Amino acid sequence: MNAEEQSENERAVVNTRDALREVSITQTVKAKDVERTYNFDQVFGAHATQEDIYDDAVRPVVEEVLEGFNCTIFAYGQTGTGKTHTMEGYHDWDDASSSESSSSFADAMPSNAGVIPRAMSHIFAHLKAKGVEHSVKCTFLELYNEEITDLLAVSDLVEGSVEFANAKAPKHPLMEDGKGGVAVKGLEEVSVPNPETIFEHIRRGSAKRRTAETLMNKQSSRSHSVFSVTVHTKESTPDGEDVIRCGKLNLVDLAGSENISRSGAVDKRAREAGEINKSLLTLGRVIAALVAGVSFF
Amino acid sequence: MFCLQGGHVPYRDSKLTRLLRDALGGKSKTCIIATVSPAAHSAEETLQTLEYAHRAKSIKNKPEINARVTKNALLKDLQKEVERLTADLTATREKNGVYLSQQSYDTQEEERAQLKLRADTQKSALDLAKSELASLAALFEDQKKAHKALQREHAHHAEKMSMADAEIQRTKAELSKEHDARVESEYLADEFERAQERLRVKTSTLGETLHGAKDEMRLLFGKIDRVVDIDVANRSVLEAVKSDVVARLERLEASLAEVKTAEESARAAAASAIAELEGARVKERDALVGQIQKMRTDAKAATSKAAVAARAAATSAKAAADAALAAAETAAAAGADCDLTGETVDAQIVSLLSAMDAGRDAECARFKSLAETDAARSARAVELANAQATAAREAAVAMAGAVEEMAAYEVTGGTPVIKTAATMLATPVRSRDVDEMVQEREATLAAFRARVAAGEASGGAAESTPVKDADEDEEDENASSSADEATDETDEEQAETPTPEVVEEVKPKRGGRAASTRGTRGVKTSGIPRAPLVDKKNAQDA
Repeated sequence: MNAEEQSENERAVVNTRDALREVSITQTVKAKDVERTYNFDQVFGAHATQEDIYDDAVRPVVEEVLEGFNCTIFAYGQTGTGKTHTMEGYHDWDDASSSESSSSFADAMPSNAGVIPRAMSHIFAHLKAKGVEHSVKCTFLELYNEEITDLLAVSDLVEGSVEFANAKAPKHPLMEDGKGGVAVKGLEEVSVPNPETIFEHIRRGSAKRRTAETLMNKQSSRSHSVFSVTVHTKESTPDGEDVIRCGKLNLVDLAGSENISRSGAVDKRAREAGEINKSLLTLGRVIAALVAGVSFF
Repeated sequence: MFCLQGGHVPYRDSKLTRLLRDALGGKSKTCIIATVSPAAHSAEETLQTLEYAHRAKSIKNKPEINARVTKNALLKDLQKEVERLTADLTATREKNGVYLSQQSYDTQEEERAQLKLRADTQKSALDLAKSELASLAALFEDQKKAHKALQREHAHHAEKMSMADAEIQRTKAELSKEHDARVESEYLADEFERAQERLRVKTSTLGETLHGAKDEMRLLFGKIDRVVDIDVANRSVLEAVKSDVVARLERLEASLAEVKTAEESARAAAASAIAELEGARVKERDALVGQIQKMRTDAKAATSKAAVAARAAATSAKAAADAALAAAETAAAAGADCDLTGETVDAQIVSLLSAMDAGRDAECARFKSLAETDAARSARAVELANAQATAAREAAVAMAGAVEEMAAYEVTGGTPVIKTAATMLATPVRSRDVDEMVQEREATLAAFRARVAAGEASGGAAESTPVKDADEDEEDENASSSADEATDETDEEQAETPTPEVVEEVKPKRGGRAASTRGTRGVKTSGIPRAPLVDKKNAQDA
């Protein structure tokens, strides 16, 4: 609950039972309390810390990435429920990181740091511990109204200036990469040699996003941000051959889900929904289609 | 890229899904962190979020580890790429334009040719598809039109169907009703046939009975004719009887008047005789009184007593004889008392008494003969009246019998079959005639009866008048009583003979009856003179 909700003495209708891994919501229908319960893989109550979430939910995923899997983490939910908080964490972390030494960073992660810094620090700590040859590259983009903005693009313009905002970051069309995947044309791919660098990039991107929000009157709830990290590690096989292992982690901070709910059901009122946010709608449709497809098996 | 079989997944609809295609149902491992607010006012959103996440949970990805590439292979690939790119770069630098190395140009040309070929084929295919599409669109339009028409028709048919359904329902209901009605009518027809059969049998029997009834009727009509004939005959007879009776009554009346006159004359004679006698007696008494007065003068107490006795004898006019006797007795007593005076008085009294006796005997004889004739006459009159009455009664009885017979004929004609037959065949006038005849006859009979009753009454009056005239005469009373007895006897005798012919036979019987009455009267008359003798002896004894 946020401060506003608490000040209005709102009744809490959601119960979380972390141990049972279920969430129940109580609704008053016709003067009768109806409780609906949903089971999930992991449930975190209101008192769970960022560290709890990371350790229980994200850490295994990051380790899979280091094993060579491609992994994606979505943050989905109503505006104001803490998606960005979960993904990025309290925005003061970059200040904290700058003030602290790089070696002690992983240990001295601020308590309110989100998934992205924790994952980065985890990856680098892992690579450092393994001591293998590696390269880490990251991209950071924003999707608003079906337009991709590179949050890591180096601009000559002074950050935060009006000219910067008016210049409008160049649009980056999506292209097929010829191998079945997609690539964003002109997307800045930054090599990250150490966590400090990546934090710097993230700070820059986030700042850009925030500035853009402010100046372009965007609402975070209407845009998605995708932070991707590609990790290449070199391993030596027993027969002396070097093998490159590649893993990619996508950390997605989605727009506020109330937009999709406001647009109605998954398929209905597609035009209106498309105007609001085509991507979120399509994501819902994709999930629905996949669920429908799954039901065939 | 992995794609699920079956079902289109619209990855291409947005850039986000295109970018993250691998994460959704692909080879990636995917984790969705759903964030919710516990506040009540966002409960709906929360519920939807949970629903959404829960749904996404069931997506199954197929995670695969990215293929490991050996360092050498990677290096080779990268070197080739670098060579190609540097070639391009140098070309670009030299020509200050787009430059491609011969190799890459060739490959690109080749690719382009291939692409062109593909594009051509695709274009032709596209054209074909377009034309097909156009034709299909036209077809579709046609189909649409046809469909619309069919829809209209269908709606029309549906309407009709519903109507027809309603009709069918109605018809079914009617059918069931009619079926019921048919069963009922069949049953009724059976019943009707049976009833007809019964009726046929009945009608045949009825016909037979009708034939019988007709015959009977014919017979009955014959009978009725006969009855009518008889009736006519009876009527004539009745008329004859009536006239006869009337004549007889007239005759009776005449004879009664005759009798009355005779009686009156006789009575007058008797009265004169009585008056004569009275006169003689008065004379005698005066003589006696004179003698007694003489004696009285002789005897002092005795004369006064004799005078009282003579006065007593004078007051009792009714018992004239008794008074005379009493006078005689008193005279005798006076005589006895006057023994002292003289024997002469005795002798005188004896002679006087004997003279008186002789006179009385003569008187009695005269009276007897007078009464006899009178009685005979009255008896005759009574007999005649009785005879007339019986004759009339018999005639009435016969008439009643005839009427009853007629009624009996009518009664037999009153049975239903014959009556209907009679009404069918006989003219109503005829039966009315019969009725009228009967009524007429009854009326005449009643009149006749009234007349007969009147005749009887007059006869009774004729009989009663002489009795009233008798006054103090004993013998007249006797005669009337004997006449009453005689009438009783004749009533009995005439009851035994019912035929009207008896009326003629009554006449000769009259003489016999008169003779029989005489005996009774003799006894009574003889008793009257004896009593004074006894009294005289008693007086002498005393």
